[in-house]
Amino acid sequence: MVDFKEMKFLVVDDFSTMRRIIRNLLKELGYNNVDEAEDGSMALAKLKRETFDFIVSDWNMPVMDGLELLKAVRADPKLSHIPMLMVTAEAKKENIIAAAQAGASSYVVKPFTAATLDEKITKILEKLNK
Amino acid sequence: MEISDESSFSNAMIDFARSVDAHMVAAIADIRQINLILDEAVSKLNNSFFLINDSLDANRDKLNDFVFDTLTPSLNSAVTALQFHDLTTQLSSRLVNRLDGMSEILECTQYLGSDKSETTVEVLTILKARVLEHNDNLHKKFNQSLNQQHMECGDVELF
Repeated sequence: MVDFKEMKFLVVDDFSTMRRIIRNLLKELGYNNVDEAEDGSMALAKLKRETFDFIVSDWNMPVMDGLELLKAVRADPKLSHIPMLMVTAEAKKENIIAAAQAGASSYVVKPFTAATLDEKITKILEKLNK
Repeated sequence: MEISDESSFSNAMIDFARSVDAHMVAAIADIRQINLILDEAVSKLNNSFFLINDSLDANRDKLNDFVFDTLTPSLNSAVTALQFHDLTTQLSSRLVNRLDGMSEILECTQYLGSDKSETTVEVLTILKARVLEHNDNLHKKFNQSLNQQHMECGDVELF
């Protein structure tokens, strides 16, 4: 059986404070294997070089935004299986629908607590396990 | 309206636009200063919180459970609340963009005043077109809503 707490996370955000906050929240939830990328393009390069089990990505980023990253991940047969949680400041329905249509596993709006993040990750993992 | 009345009204309007622009420029400078101060404060808080966090982790075996269990949740809560800095940064950047655009529009009234043959209606029509163009640009850039007010906003149920 897969030990979820051993999963390797990739946190993508252009705001370094936010990356540290998400890393800290993940640590609080027991996920200690976390790497970071500053934008979608850097994340995609890392995803092609290394193996990751879960992506937590911001939406608004320079160079390549979260939605573009999501589409690139879903279009790549080697990466398309990786669950991706979109983290964003935008709470608009259109954005949420766009993320769902592009294949996001779930969506969380800033600011969020460890409990909300836990609930989102757990739901995603439960779906994967079915 | 007589030509001379028309011209003096147009000039008065241009003077008014310049006065408003001076306020816009001062407001933009203040917002930029607020951002600098806020960035500095949050970066200090950020460094200190994470330093305490790392020290707690590194010295877990030296701390009794009561101290560790009391400090950790408060610290995690403080770190998590730093997310509001990301939101305030985005909001103030929007505000500066909005005011910058309006300031540019008001600044250009000085060129409008140089042609004495322009009527007030012509000046207003040019200004209105520029404001509409600015609205379009802002709408393309900031068509999102940022209305979050508390830490529990994050849970959206559409999935």
